[in-house]
Amino acid sequence: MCPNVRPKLSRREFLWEAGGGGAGIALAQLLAGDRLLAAATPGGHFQAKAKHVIFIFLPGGISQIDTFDYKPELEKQHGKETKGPNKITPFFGKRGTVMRSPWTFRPRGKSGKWVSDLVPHLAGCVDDLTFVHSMVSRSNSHMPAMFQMSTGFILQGFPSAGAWISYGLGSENQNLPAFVVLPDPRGFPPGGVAHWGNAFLPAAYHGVIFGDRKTPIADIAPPRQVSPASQAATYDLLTELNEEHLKLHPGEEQLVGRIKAYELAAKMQLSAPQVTDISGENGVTLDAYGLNDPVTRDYGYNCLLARRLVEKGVRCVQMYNGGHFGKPRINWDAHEDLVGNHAKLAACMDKPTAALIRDLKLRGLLDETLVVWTTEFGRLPISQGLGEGARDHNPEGFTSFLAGAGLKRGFSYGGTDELGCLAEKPVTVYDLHATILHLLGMDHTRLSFYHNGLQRRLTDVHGHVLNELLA
Amino acid sequence: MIVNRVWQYHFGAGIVNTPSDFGFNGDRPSHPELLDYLAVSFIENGWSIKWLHRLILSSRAYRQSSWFNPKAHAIDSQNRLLWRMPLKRMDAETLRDSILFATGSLNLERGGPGFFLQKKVDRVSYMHQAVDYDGPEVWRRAVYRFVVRGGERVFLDSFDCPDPAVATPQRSATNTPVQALTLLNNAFVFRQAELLAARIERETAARPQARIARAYALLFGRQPSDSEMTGGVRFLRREPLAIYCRALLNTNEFVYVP
Repeated sequence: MCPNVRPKLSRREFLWEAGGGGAGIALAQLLAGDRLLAAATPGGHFQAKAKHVIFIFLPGGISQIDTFDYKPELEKQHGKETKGPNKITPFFGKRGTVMRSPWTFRPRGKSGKWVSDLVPHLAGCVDDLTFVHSMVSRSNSHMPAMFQMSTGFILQGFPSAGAWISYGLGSENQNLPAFVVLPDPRGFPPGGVAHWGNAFLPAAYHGVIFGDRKTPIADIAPPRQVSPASQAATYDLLTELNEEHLKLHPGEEQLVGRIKAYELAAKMQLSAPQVTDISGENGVTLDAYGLNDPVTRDYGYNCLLARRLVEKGVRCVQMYNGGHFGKPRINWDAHEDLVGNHAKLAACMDKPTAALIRDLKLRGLLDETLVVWTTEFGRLPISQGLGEGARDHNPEGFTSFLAGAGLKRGFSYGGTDELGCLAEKPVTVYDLHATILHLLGMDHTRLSFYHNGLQRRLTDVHGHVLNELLA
Repeated sequence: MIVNRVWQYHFGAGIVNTPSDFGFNGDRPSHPELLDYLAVSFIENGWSIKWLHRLILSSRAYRQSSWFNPKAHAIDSQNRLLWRMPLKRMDAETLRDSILFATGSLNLERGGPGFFLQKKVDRVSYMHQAVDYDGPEVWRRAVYRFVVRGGERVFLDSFDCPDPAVATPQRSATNTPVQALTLLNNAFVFRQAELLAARIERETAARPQARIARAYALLFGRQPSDSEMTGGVRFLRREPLAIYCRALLNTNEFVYVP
């Protein structure tokens, strides 16, 4: 199995392979040589709770104190200066006074969780959600913070969580990619493809973009001038020529692998449109996902597609609600007008996201699927500048929620201070990633890849599994 | 380090298979004396990379065929001792350039400003959107393309061309269905197949046998076998020459060297 010519294991090598190089998965990966998608599926470290994961990312920074982190103290201190020592450091340098939430909070569900009227549909799902109210980020600038959420590092150039997961577990369905990305129909998030890149992992683990109704996958279909008959004849001719060629090169795995890849491509060409075509869904489902409403239609289609992809065995779906910066704002970065921005975006995000969670539950898929809803950071409890109805960035405490396999449902972990600003029992992005990998049956300290002299990990040298969240 | 990197470029694997790590965690050299010899001679020859290329390319090891030998394979299945020339998949840029060369459209203009495969979009910060440009100005060798960090390059990406934001001592050579779809369905490949068909029609008589022979000469540097000829003639009875050319550009024989 050893790729190198080593007559015997020296003491030093033994120590390395037993200790520092305990990266069983990575080693198996190196040995497999990444030649074949099917061969490159080393599997998990222990019994997994979840088989699939759906990441829902809200670029721009959705406010925790106007959605799920209820702080009655804001009402009392509205308009006042924040008192005592505090670490509030606005991104734009203008400090305002305490600002109450413009939305009313009410207790919801059996768990009695207080949620605002901004997200009424998600409020109806609280008994199935697992909240983490003490998220912290290493940056209060969007792009580094987003890179950290996507890749574990604030700089670009590292593999995305989805790439790590598909590298670790492979795909359950060889007719579809293991890692599918559904960008917001309004555009890519800031940082673009780096959020689903493979970086130094083999290119097979790069996220594949779906979701554009016209071209679900790049090059899934031949140019218009090529008829289906020509395409079929081409596949046949290729098989014939490649098999002839293989006779001259017996035992060449790479060549066999490539013949197989064309067989799979032919299948993918047929199966991918079956997943993206939603004409078989009933009216109730379409309505639940908001497909009959222009506000929710595009994002709703992505939510429905996420369920269909998971149903077909896709390992990881990464979807976005919110796009790039610019005016008018098409992401959650409410620097000018909190009410206008969040109300408009929530009207699009809330209903389809809730429909996805309900639908997964209804079909029993929530027992094997992990949903991760997150943003790069939260927003400050003070207004941005005096008298302005907007909030600035807050990386010191924000909310993410998880839902599904292996988690305590209707449960909240951690919190923030009385104003909803600074995290208590802080949870780092590394901790979140470690927990996600754990639920998928992988030890975050052992899922590694040797690159430039280091065994690289999604969690770098950090991360603790949040055992309190586990059922 | 550098002689090992050049060796890796030609053989697909270095004498030390962890090209950026010659330390304790790295690989052991398969041929330590050879590595020392190359390093010392490289210095003695004025650190000339050109000299190094010539030395490697004219070596017996490099000029071996890639024929499979079951006996050798049983002893050294990874071919670390180089009992044959390893079969290599062309890397992304080589594949693109080879397609352009075979179809006769490669623009050999040297130097000067690069060409673009992306469009600059101003959205607060600059973004680069992949655009399917066509024409002689983008038919230059891939080495002249403008490289964008984190940018999308549909064709090159799927053939493991790494993002320039990441130091990549060794490229992967993956084999995925997405790659097959790209080489088969990408508009660039189809247009080049049409150009190849036009070139063949220009250069040969209208008989299908002549066309098939010309295609094999241009793409594989050999004559087709009898069965390949029969299969080709059968195919061309129903399908246009461009579709045939597109299929040949997708064969293992074209994509793998030698």
